[in-house]
Amino acid sequence: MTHSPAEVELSPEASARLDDYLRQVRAALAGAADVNPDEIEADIREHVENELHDAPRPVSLSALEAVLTRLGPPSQWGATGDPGVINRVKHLLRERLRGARVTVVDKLRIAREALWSGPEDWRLAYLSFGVFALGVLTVFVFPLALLVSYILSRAGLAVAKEKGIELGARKWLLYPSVVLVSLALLIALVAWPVALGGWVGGEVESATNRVQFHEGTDPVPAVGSDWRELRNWQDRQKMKERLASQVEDDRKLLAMVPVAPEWAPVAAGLFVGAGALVLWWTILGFVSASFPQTVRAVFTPFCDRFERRHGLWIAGPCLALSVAWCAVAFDVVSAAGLI
Amino acid sequence: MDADFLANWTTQMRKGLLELCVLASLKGRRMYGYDIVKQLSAIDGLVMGEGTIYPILSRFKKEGLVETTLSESPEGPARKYYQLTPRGRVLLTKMLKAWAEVRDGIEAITVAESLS
Repeated sequence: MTHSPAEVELSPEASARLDDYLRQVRAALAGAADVNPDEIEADIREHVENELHDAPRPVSLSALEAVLTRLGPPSQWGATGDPGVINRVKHLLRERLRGARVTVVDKLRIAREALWSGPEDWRLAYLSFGVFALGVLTVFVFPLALLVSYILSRAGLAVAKEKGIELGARKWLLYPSVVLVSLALLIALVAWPVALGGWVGGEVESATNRVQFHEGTDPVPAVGSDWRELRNWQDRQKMKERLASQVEDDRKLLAMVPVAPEWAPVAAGLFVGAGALVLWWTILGFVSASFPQTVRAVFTPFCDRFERRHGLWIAGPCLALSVAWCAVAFDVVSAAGLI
Repeated sequence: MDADFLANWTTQMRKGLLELCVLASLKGRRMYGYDIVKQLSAIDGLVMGEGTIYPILSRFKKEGLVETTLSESPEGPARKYYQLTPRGRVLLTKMLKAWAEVRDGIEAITVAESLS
């Protein structure tokens, strides 16, 4: 005859002993993946209550101990036969990792669903513009904000494209950072040879100044002049002696520029800048003609219709101009006697 | 040495047989977990610790060999009863057949030994 389990009144010692025993049960079963430890703990508690149903209240420690002895040590219950501490720890870690992975995957799924459905289509657009506006207002985080806003805008454009959504008014939120980044990228990519022309112009200007300084008349101060004027004149003479060899090179350089000395820096800068520009654009044209999909990807949505022929349109004329430029450059260098 | 071997062998044999007995005790009926424990504990030498049966029941439940149902008890809270699933019944039949073959084989050897 069995009895229904009910809360058994235990003495404090017996209660502490039962708690300790159940703790051992949980520890012993922690590594056993093929059982349900909670269920077993409940079964054990129920078993104890059934066994002690007729015991005098409060149940003494000795009465409980007899029941626990018959149940046996939990350390021998490992359902898999491998209750080692390391295995239990490994099992617990695996369980925790699995739980964490499930949580992360769930959160990602929720985030994805939130971004992919209903009015949340606007969320990326608002987020992008918000970050962009924050960057404009705070100024000092603008580069980072622009980058984040650009990424969000690109994501928003990709989502809209994939779902076939007309951008409509959203483009006013998505485009600012895309336009800015695309423009900066385009300028950096296309116009850097202009900077080279500017640098060459600057060098020619320095050369012109050195030659003019060296060739300029500088009469000896009259007898009785101020001693400071005399010292400045001496300093200028020493400077001219030091620059003598440099000035020779400068003269050769200026000889290659067949314009008046005052126009030499502008002419040299324009010539070199234009040459570098057409040579570089020739390369860009052929590269973009070979990889039109890369151009479309980088400059979307502004170059979505870019095709191979567009690259060739750039490369063709630039190649012709490059050939002409090289011919002129050859003549100039030959005339200067450098070849 | 012999004692250790015997203890180990007995443990292994008992473990396998206890699983068979847990399933066999549910053949054709459902039983309260505590009653299963008490019934099997009454078999000499089979159960070393009554607590070992609860993990076996839990594992069988997870493996789909047994299922549980809660039934009201006139004497108190609801009880959890165990019963075999169709899969458990099929497996029990196979296990009993395998056990019978082993048992008959062992008996045949021991009888032949005693006659020779």
